[in-house]
Amino acid sequence: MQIVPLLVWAERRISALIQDRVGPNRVGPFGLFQPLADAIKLLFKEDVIPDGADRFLFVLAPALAFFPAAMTATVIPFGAPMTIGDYQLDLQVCRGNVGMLLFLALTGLGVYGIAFGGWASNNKYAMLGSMRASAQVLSYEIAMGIALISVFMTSQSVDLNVIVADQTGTWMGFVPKWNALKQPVAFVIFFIAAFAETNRLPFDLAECEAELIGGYHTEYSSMKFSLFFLAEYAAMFSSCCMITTLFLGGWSFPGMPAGQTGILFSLLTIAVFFAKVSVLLFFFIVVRWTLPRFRFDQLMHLGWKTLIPLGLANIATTGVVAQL
Amino acid sequence: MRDAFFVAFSFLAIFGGFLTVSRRDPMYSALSLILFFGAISGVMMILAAPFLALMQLMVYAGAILVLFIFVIMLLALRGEEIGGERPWPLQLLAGIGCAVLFGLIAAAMLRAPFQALPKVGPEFGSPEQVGRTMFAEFVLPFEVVSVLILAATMGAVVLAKKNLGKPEGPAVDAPKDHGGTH
Repeated sequence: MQIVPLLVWAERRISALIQDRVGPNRVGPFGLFQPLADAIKLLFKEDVIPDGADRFLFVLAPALAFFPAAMTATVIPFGAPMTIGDYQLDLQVCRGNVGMLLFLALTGLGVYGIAFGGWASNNKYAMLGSMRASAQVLSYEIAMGIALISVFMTSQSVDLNVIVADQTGTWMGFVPKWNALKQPVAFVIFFIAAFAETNRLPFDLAECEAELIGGYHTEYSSMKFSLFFLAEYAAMFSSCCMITTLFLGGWSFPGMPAGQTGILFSLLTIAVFFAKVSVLLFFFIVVRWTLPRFRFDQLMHLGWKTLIPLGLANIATTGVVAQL
Repeated sequence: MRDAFFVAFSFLAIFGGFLTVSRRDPMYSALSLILFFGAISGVMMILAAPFLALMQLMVYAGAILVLFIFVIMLLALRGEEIGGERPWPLQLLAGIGCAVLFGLIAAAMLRAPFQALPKVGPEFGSPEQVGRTMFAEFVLPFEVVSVLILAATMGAVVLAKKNLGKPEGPAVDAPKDHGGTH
């Protein structure tokens, strides 16, 4: 949540770099306080509710969009358990073996904010954006789930802590035993699906400014718009955390000594985790400013006719290999 | 504490269910249904069935209801298209029907003997336990159900594609190149 303004700043700086511009650099060192200034500006903007809008749903929608996006981060183990005195602090808010399912359920719920937002705006562009978003999230959630099943098969568990523990250690001394290397197909599918689930380019057909003006948030202004905006970046952050946990070894790193519980060690694992996440976030941003947008039928074809069959084939292969 | 949450979620579920049937606007019905699914999922969570609870959220609230909303948007059901209230005799009839049905179910449940179920371990209802039960003890029924679902899916595809097997007619004329640069 606190990471979002930083992310927006990174997005603008990197996009400027790609487009050979300077980007925000006036407010604070390297323009770091620019998001803060933007937030203050957004808070003081006039909050417009259009005449034809459904007032209740219009107000509810941004909250509905933000809530699941903010909650998904609770299931992610950010670092090794920390021992302070006699107390063991787990760096994961919501423990237990259903965490992964909670993540999937919440990403599925995230679409309601967009759907109701577009509907309540009573604007044809907003509604088109919402319809696209619902169809897209539905399609890519299946691909995501299928990619996950093969990861569960490799790790023999749905518990995120077990999945992280399963990825510690190395092959031949330097190649980390990450699921990205054990399950490259699942990794690629999950990665693509994560782009689609977070409505990022090249899958941001829901907001497509060229044909839909702004898609589902065309009619939104002030703080309600910022909530949608926050939700998008928070979802991006938690997706990157999830990819790190599932495929890039989570908070573990190659050459990690086993059985450590010190505070310093714990802080180190947190640093490792966020370093991995930052690399992924950088990749997300670069992709946005590099690739053009898909057409809607291309998006659906990719989801249903490529990713889902590929994922199913991957599950079958994993099963056969596991039995050998 | 658990009981308080159980009661709260139950009332929320009943409230959501009531709103679902009483709203005229289908979009509000769908929204109420989400509330209902969420509350039911909470009840399941308290009754030591976390796997079931999250499946409920994922499949019903996360997927099926999104489809509902998609269809409502596709048909653009708003304003006059929803239609007015039904005449009062019909409303009364529906009310009596619901009351009778509720009474029958309540009577049947009250006559059934209440007995304490055996205590279950802390792992009960976890994905692992559910998986073991489903794929070891009840593997045959599970496979039979999967065949049934496959048959239903194929039926749905056949119904949706009426002209399956017939040669496809010229549905869309190829766009002819008029004009252009010569």
